[in-house]
Parts: sequence; C-alpha cells; structure tokens
Amino acid sequence: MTKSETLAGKPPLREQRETCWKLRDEYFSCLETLSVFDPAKVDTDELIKALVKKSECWKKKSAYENACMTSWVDYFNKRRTLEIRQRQIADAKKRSDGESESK
Amino acid sequence: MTGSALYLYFKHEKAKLIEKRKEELENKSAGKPQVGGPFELIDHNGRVVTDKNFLGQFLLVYFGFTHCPDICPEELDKMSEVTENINSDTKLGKIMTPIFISCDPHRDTYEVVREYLKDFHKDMVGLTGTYEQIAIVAKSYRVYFSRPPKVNPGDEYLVDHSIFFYLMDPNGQFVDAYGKSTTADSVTDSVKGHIKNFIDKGGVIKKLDG
Repeated sequence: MTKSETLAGKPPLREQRETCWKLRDEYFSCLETLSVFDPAKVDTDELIKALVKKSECWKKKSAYENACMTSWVDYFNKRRTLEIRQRQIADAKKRSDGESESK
Repeated sequence: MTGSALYLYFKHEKAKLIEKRKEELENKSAGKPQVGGPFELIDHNGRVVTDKNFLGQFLLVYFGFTHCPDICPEELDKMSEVTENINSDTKLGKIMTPIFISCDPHRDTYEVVREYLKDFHKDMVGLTGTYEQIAIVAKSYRVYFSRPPKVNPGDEYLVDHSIFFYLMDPNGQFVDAYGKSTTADSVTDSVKGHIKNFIDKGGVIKKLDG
C-alpha cells in the first residue's frame, strides 16, 4: 500500500518529508541486517519477500511506504541499490589496495 | 650580437609576450560561460516579474520542483542558511535574495510554490510560469530538465534536473555555481569573497529594508 499523490497536487511539506526520510532509513537499515540490498526485490522475489515477512522489517516496510509518495519510494529504492553497489566497489578496492601494499 | 640587434631582439620578444597576454585575456572572457538572461515569470504571489525586478541584489538561483524527494529541500535549506549568514552580517546587510524556479510548471502553480516556500527562508522568492517561459529561463541558465514523456493526469512522476545553484551579481551577471557537495559554510565564504570583489571593483548593491 503506498501513499500516492496528495490532494490536488499538493506536495509533502517539511514535517511529512522528514517523517518519510526517517522511516525510509529505518527500513533500509533493517533490510541490511538481513543482507537484502535491493529493496525492489522484496516485492518481486518470493524468497526475499518470505524472509522479510518473517522479520520486523515487514512492518517497517509498510510504515515507509505509507509515509512516502509512490514516486519517492521507487526513487529511493533505486538509489539505495546504487549506493550499496558503489559502497561494495569502494570496499573491494580498499581491500585490494591494502593487499598490494602489504606485498 | 651588437647592441642594436639585442635591443631589437628584446623589443620583438616583449611584443610577442604582450600579444600572448592579450590572447589569454580574450580567451578568459570567451571561456566564462554565458549563464543567465532575460526572463518573464510569475512569482509565488501570482505577480508577473522579470529579471529586471532582481537587479541590485545578489541572487542564489536554484531550479527544482516541489515534488522533489530530498535533493531540492536540502539545497534550498543550504541556500536559506547562506542567505541568513549574508543578510544578518551587519557589515553587509540585506543584499541577497534566494530564488527557487520550478522546472515542473505543470504541477507547480504559484499557490503550490507559495506553500512550499513556507519551509524555507522568509525572503525566498518562488518563480513559475508556462512551460515555454520555464524552458526559456532554464535554457539561459543551462539547466537541463525533463519529465517523463507520457504523463496522465493524476500520475506521479519525478523531474530529472541538474542540481547546481547559481550566484548572480547585482548586474544580473553569473558569478559562480555550487553543487551538492558544498556546505553552507563553504558557500558563505565563497559568496563573501565574490561580494568583496564586486564592491572593490566599484559595484553598486541595492540593500533591501528589514
């Protein structure tokens, strides 16, 4: 269930935005504890969905999706996947740099 | 080499150097991007305004849209903080106006923009207009924006847009651009430097009241 565009094209104001961001961050952190790095997969991948449903992340998913506009949820989810991938690449590089230095 | 030959040689070299300097200066001014230009838009109170209405003030100009997930509010907060730092500086006074220009004229009516601005600096001006008017001003600021091609009424969408904000001087000339990685403090320092340069060169600023 997502919160779609508010009445008459009115965008969320500061308080609503900040609530959305807070719940988003809580949900993403929770997913990370399950090693789920692609929030979109929670809807598309049956195994991942089952995993998340059994955990406390499922409630956080609803809270996040209710607090944020649908277009924002899609955007944040995509960006999250990108951020994690970039972080993984940076970590891998650090490790390989470390190895080549100690040789 | 004889004395007169040496003299001629040095004169020739000096002339070459002067030519080179002139060329460099010309390239410098040719290299500065042409950013900004005339526009006619509607402010957040529904009044028609043009670029001329803002002459005399330093401006921080940001293109965004009210349905923006997080980048726009963050940049507008940064601009608000910089504006407050400048305008509350007793040595400077009220010389800066922050401006938000919507690149989503379809949804951002002036009433929507007015409501959106309530979260930011009290002196922030919001501008919107018809698609054509926005296209003109975005093009002159070299701002790219696009919304998804097929949007039905009531659909949600995000607008893709470039995310710098621009410092314009009281003559309407482009001075500097700041990106996402800047902080309010670093921008404040940079802006203060530009203001000092402007004043040192004899520039005139129109201070606003209270």
